[in-house]
Amino acid sequence: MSTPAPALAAAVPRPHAADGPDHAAAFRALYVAHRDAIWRYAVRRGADAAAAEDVVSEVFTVAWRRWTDVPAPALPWPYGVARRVLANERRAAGRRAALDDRLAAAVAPGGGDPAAAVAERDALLAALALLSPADREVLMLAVWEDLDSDAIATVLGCRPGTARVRLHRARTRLARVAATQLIQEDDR
Amino acid sequence: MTADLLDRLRAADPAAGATPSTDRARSLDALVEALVSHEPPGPARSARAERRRLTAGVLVGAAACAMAAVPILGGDRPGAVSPASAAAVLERAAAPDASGSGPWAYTKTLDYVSHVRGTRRGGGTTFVTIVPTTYELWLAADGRGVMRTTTDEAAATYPTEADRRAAKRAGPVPPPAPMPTTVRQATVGGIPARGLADLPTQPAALRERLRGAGAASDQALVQRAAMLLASPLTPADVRTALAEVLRTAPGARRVGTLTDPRGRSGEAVEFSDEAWDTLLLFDRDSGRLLGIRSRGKRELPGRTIEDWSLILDRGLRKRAPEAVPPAAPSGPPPTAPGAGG
Repeated sequence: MSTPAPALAAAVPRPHAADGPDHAAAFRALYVAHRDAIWRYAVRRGADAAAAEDVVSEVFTVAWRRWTDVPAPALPWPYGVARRVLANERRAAGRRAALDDRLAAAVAPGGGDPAAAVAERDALLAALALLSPADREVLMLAVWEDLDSDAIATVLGCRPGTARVRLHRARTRLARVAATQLIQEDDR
Repeated sequence: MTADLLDRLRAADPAAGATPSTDRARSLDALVEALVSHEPPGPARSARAERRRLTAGVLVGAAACAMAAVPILGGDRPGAVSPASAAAVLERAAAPDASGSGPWAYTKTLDYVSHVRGTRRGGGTTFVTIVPTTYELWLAADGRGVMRTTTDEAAATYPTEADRRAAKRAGPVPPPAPMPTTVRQATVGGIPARGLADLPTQPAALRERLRGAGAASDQALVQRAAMLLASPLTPADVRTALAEVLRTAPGARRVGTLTDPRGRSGEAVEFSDEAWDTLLLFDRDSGRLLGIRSRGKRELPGRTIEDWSLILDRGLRKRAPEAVPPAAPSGPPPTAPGAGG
């Protein structure tokens, strides 16, 4: 079970189709299908490997203990749980500071690499880091978690229309900040 | 233009293709198997995973909103020595901290953990409840150990009256049974436990080591130094250096005598910046760290969020409970050198 394949996601039984007996099998399938996606969600938001492991374990513990709340299809529900887990962790003494530090490190420019592609990538990530947490989250959900505005709304707990507006504004702000970053790169 | 920009951002994904290492994947697999083996699938229940703090060290606090301490400024006891400054309080923080004997460094902390519960589906609502949660950790010098988490649902509190009403509508929550779990590679204050003995004993070098381990901000530095002070595994000469790191940290001020949510009084020193206050509470007689309070001033508009993490017990122990699941992915349950009792 340690090497889940994304392709298996399509084969995940509907949790509540497990109204029959085999909740465990459905739960295992859910885990196999989404473990790595939740792992990446955490890493993108600054979690190191240990913290990402905590997030994944928390998400699936929640899923099992709230099995009747898990929708079908499951996504983006696990992202919403992961988001709350990370938010709670950030509030926690010590962990909060650690995660904030890691987030800054994760998206800060690497520096020193002369390759133009790397420089642009660094500038983009730096621009992302300069956005507000709310803008950053909605963009990451859209681009890296590949969620549409309805799913983003589910994760963020807002209306789909609100999610669309937030995404539009975040895109605009990213473009503005990225342009500044890229200009600064050129000026070096 | 933004579509192109988003495509480039997609290509810049720092986690593209990232997956857990083999060891971590096996550990997660084991957790899933433990869940399905030991618990029935449930309706909404307490869902703060036992492992949330396995890597965060002994003293990682959790959010608490309603358990404010009662400051008793100027309430010194007759005959007690009253340190004149934050520096004087912090100098005593290096006092020996471990009692007892045995291969297991035991720490028991009490945190006030915020849970978001309920569901918005079907016209429902979510609410916040703060549940006192006790963490017991038996940690060997090689970083392996056992953790037991106990939640006290009966003592739950609610930040707002709306939260209380929503919780009442949702009904009672059966607490999960305490289940010792295996710790594979614990860290203390961001430092791998097996590396504590090798930490620098010069304050400047130690400060840089902590910075390098992720404590970029002064607040993070203070919190991590405090976590290390609270661990029975931290060597005495490192404790002395940690006290100096704290003594020279920016913004320290002596608060005076303060009482924590468990009614224990001590000498408090607080480190503040624009967004956060980190308060360390020390026993007035022994100089031992009693707890940490972290107060966020900008997390929610118009509100402050307080986290208390209280150290209830610590010392060396001869025995540790058996963990469930019984075998860690990377090896058998931890057996510290010389563990026999």
